[in-house]
Amino acid sequence: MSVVNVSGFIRPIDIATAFVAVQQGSIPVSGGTDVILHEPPAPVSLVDLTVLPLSGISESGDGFSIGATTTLSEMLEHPRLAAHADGVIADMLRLVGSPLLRNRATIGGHLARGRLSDVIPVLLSLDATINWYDGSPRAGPLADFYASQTHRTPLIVTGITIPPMHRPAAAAFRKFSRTHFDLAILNCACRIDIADDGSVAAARVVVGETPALAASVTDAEVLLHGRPLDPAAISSAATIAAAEIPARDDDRATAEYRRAIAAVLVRRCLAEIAGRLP
Amino acid sequence: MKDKFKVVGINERKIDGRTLVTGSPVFAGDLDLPGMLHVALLTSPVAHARITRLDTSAAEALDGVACVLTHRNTPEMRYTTAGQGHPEPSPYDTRMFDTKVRFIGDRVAAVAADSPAIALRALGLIDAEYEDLGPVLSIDAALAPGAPVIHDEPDALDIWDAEHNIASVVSAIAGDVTAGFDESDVVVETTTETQYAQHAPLEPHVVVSSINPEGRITLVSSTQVPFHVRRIVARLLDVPIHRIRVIKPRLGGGFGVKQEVLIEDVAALMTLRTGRPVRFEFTRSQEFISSRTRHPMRVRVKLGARSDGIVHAIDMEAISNTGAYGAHALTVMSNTGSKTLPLYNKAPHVRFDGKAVYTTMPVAGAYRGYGGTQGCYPLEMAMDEIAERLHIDPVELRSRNHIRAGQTSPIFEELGEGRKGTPQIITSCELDACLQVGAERFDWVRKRAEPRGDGSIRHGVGMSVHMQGSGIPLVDMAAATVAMNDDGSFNLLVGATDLGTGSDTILAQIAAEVLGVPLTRIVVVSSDTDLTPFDTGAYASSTTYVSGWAVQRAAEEVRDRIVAVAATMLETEPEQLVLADSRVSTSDGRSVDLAAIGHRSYYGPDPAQIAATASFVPESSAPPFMAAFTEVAVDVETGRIEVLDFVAAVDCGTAVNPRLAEGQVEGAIANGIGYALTEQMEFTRLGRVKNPDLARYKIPGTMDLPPIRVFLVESYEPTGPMGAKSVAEIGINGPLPAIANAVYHAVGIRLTHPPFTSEKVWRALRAAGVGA
Amino acid sequence: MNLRFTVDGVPTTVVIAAGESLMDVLRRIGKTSVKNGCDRGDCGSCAVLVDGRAVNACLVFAGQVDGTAVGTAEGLAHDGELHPLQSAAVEGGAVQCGFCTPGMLMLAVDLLSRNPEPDEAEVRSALSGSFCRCTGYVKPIEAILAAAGTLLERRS
Repeated sequence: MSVVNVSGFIRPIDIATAFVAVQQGSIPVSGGTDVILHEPPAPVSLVDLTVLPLSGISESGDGFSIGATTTLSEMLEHPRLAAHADGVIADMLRLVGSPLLRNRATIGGHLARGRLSDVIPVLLSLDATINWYDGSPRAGPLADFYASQTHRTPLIVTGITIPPMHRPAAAAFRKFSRTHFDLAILNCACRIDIADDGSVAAARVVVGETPALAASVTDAEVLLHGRPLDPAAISSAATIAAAEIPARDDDRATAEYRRAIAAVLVRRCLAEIAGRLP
Repeated sequence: MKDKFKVVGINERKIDGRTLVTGSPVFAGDLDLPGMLHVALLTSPVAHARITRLDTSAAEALDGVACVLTHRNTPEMRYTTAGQGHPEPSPYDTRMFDTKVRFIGDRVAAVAADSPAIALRALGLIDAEYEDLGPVLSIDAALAPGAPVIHDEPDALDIWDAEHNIASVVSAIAGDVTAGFDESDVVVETTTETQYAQHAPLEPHVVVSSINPEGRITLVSSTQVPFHVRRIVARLLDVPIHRIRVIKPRLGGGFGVKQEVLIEDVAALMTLRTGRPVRFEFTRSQEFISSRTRHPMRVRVKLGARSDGIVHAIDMEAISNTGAYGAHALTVMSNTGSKTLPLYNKAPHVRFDGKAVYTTMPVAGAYRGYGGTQGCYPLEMAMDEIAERLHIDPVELRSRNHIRAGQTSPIFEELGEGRKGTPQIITSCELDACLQVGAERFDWVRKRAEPRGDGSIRHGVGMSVHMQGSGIPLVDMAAATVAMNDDGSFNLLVGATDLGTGSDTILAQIAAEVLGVPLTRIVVVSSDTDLTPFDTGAYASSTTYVSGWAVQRAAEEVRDRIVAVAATMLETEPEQLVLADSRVSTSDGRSVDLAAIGHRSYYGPDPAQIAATASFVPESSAPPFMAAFTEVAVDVETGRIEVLDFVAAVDCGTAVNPRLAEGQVEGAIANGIGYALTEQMEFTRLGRVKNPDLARYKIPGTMDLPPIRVFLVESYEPTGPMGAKSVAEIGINGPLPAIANAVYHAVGIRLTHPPFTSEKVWRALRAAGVGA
Repeated sequence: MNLRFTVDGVPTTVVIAAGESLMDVLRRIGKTSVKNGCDRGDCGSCAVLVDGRAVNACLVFAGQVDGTAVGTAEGLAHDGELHPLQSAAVEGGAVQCGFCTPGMLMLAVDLLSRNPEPDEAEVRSALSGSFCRCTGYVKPIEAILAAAGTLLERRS
């Protein structure tokens, strides 16, 4: 979709130059699949982030570092990343958009948009850290990034870090949508770490597309902590999720239905995890 | 019979396949003419209003704007956009640009400018004010006492009862249904309400118009009905028919929506006014809002059967929502009965009542299945219920009841396309074979007996049977010309309109069969009103059966001429000669090849063009038949329905090209599954379409569909060309009732309001206490 | 601004507006295999390869493909011989109206370049952003599987 109000492309020499342009009102663009759908009200320049060295996936003791201009397909096709956390990232990415979109859309652009996402709940469940630049390089938990509305301020997302899983642990993701190539009516990502005594050492129960941006169901996480992941615990966590998510009506579903689906998805994710844990 | 065919019945490659896979510039939107103007359309933001002010001066003054059309400078006559034969059965209730708007998306003004961007900018400069007349957004609102009158214009023609918003009414009766129900051992009743759905061809409507120095207008248009476009545009613009040429290039799908004349009038008038070429193409959003849809319909079916399962009485009442205009209102509603009720012809007592009402919503029109889709759904659900009540297997119940070759139904005569029908005796019906083959391939008996599960996922299987038609008897006319070339090849000129179905290929196969040549020796020229003879167009499953006959006849005449020439050359009598394998031969082994005959016909002695034009008007509409079987999994916790398997066994007579015939059914079933599960246009409370794009209007993709398994059963239709019947529409009718019946089998609820979205099913399951 | 890239192997320079989509630019230079079905990334009819990966050309700023190799369905056939994917589509009845076909072919090229032996599920998955309203995808999927077989045979 051609956009009329684009006066030109800025090809920054470094991130600082790019940020100055953004501060002056230019729009950062990576894959561009979302930017191109929105006609700006007045002529603006686009800052092409793909010319910066922000692409690629590396692995270290701190986990996976993924540059902002890495495409979703590159993530899906990275064998180690795809296998990480029981393959939950790959399971999720296969359900994001379509191959045509994943081949172009980048992780940075997706996280900067900060809405309509299957990716964010999974990254939240894995305690991912986001890196950005707002005059200085910054890093912080992805959860805080959205909770504090940082993503609404002028900045450039530079990458994401996914920490290693501390075994024994397991993760699962579920998306519920009308058709395969669709936004979710609701999605759910869970991760459970198990302590030596077999009880839950850490729990992440994240529900997204409520239709608010994905967030942890804190009470469910607290409930699961310190006890075995048994059917009773799973059922209680599902009930809590249904009650506590900030569900609203929109064109895809009613709040009432979203609560029912939340219970089902949380239960199914946790049951899958329970089946996978030693 | 079929064994003797050499080209018919073969999976020949589509003759335009190579052109299409290489992306050649063969679609109307690929045409780029020097100096071409681009059209932008201003549409109504309100559902029902009178235009009180319309100032286009700023738009006209904008640099690059060449023409602005509104109700003030366009013809006032009423017409219908339906794109049907003449006389047209749809009411004349439409003006090119009216002083009143009747739905959000109705035409207000059109701008032609040097670029699309300028045209869009000009739209923003048009100042329009509206006096709201009150939206009418449902069948019930339209019929309520005191409802706003949508068509209050005095000059509309053929509206049944404009004052009460009734576009058309039709009824048919045989026997006495009241007595019939009294005499029945079991009576069931089902009411279904189908949704607004859109065709969604991948190519939106597009036309390029131009004018030559002699004043002739050429329209290259994505139309299913080039000859109707010519006639309708000529009348609207007061231009003689012979001054308009309509060319249908390759078409990116139609499914009925391109039967409507929605853009050609505007482009042609702009070209007339400016002398410049004009391109008018719908955006995807306009395709949803301003083009055409499937008639939403409320259909009540009451069915009475004897204890042996024989259907004794059928009462069907249909109320359709035709939207703001009555395009196809009468005929779609008629077909709701006429394409369904004859299937169960043992019933002596049958009644059909249909009514089409106006609302201030998007306009309904022709859509693959054409009313039959809406009618067979409650009928086949009611049959499922009869089967259950009488403890008869659903397949067996259909087998006991369905019409057979040699039989008729009173409905054929009582109910035609918006008028009395034509008496018809079924001359081929292999529905028994369809039931048998389908049940076998699907493994019906085993699957039907399998446990349905008691966990969160419940399995069920369901089936349904269907008929459609092959063209409109005594209305459709197709013509074809076959002309021999000097190398012994042939030009085949047909008005028939290939929308991507492959009709050019199968018509060429029929010609090649008659003329005893390989398919490669037939050059097809189709759908150009200057070059090809008349054809009503591609609708009502007419092309194979109606156009196919025209081709066969023209080819036969040419064959006879060839044989006559050969007889002279071989110094024998024509009766002694056989045309086969590109040669005309005597029984004693002498022969002359077609190239020699072709050359002689051009260069002598006694040169004369070997050619013939033939026409065909069908006297009947031989129905194709289908048995559909499906397996579903219902997640009772979420309401999600997954279709796991879909089998269709189809009787389409001789399949002229089996692979292309299968493709017709496969595509129609996929479309039908979308209609059953996810496709619906959604509206705000003011009547605005909320989901005018393919992200929110959910058509099925590869991951949403089960294996679709189509089996063509052996069949031969004596009234069809080479034994063929048409097959374009029937497939779309299967999924809705078959899936609904399978869901009932799985979880015991009857779904009456498609699409069966997960939330809707979840609510129905909760109301029934299933899985909660 | 100037855009320099290769289109189907041919070095090409085009003057473009900064906000133009790759689809609009390609159609403007005559690449009619790039179909406009929705202009917002929903249908897949405009799919092209950018450096070997299939993308919706309508969702790509042309200004960002400078220096890349863009491939369309028009570059698949060589010396009049169809690419096996094209032949299989014609042979197998996978083409009906053909409007979605070029885009679908680009997705298939991308798939087979990374996964020469896909199974049916993988083909389905690869085509998931490309809508077809004519075929129900039955024969397109069969054709891609058949072409994959042909390509493997040729290689061995």
